[in-house]
Amino acid sequence: MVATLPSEHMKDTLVAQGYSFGGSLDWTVYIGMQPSTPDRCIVLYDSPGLAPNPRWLLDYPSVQIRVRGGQNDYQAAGRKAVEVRDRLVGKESYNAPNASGDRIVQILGVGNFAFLGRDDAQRPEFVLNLSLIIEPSPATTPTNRDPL
Amino acid sequence: MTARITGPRFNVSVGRKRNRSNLEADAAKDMKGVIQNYRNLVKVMEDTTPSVLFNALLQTYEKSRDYCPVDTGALKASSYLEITSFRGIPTVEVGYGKGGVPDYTARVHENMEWRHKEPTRAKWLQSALAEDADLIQRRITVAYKDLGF
Repeated sequence: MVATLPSEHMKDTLVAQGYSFGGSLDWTVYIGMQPSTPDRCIVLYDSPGLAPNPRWLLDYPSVQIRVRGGQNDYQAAGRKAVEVRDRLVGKESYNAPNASGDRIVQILGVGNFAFLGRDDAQRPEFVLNLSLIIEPSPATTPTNRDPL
Repeated sequence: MTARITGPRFNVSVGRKRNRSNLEADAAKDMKGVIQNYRNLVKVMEDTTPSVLFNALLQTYEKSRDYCPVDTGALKASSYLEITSFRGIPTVEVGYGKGGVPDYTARVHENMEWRHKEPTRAKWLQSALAEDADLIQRRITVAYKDLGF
């Protein structure tokens, strides 16, 4: 089994709560690349996190979430950022809703969501950064670390 | 009320004992000393903490400047590490683009799809802080030990 990216875990967590992944629906979730369309989209990136525990299978990655709306969507995009934050931050420890076998121990916000400004097409963007604690499955990849 | 547990080596008393009234005065005096020492400790920590934190962050701040993308130089020039105060509590603040100048600071920091020339990068401040998180804690610990705490 291959390792699962923290951004994939967050995507799967959102999809399990009714969000769509890929495609062209409004507020669809994407990973790693912001599409030019649709205007309304949620994009997840893997961002710099803390060093993983060298002894135990415990990771401290970070994920960035960018929410973009249409030109007149400042409020809609901001509300969507708040909604995504509230779906993820503080969620009780759970098994990742995918085949990874990883456990999502904690999701914390790094600061709060913020308005980033508008892109070249005058579309408003909001950003939210998350700090995660993930307990990877020992079955995922060969590792020097022990499970907790 | 007095409760007494007696054994071969222990004699524990709780509450007022008439024949030991001077103990209360002694205890109150000792406690005053403890409280004063504690207040002195807090005062010394309050006075020294800003410089301890400043020094603990200095190298990390320099690292973030190395990671900061440079085009016109305005972004890098907007970097700051300063002792400030937050709700009356001495605080050390590290950042870029204070007061929204330059206005593209957050956008460049947060846009992870833009490529930058090595070693500069998006998330330059977050990267430096994440990489040095353990080191910063260690620097703080060492600094307090050096101060005699």
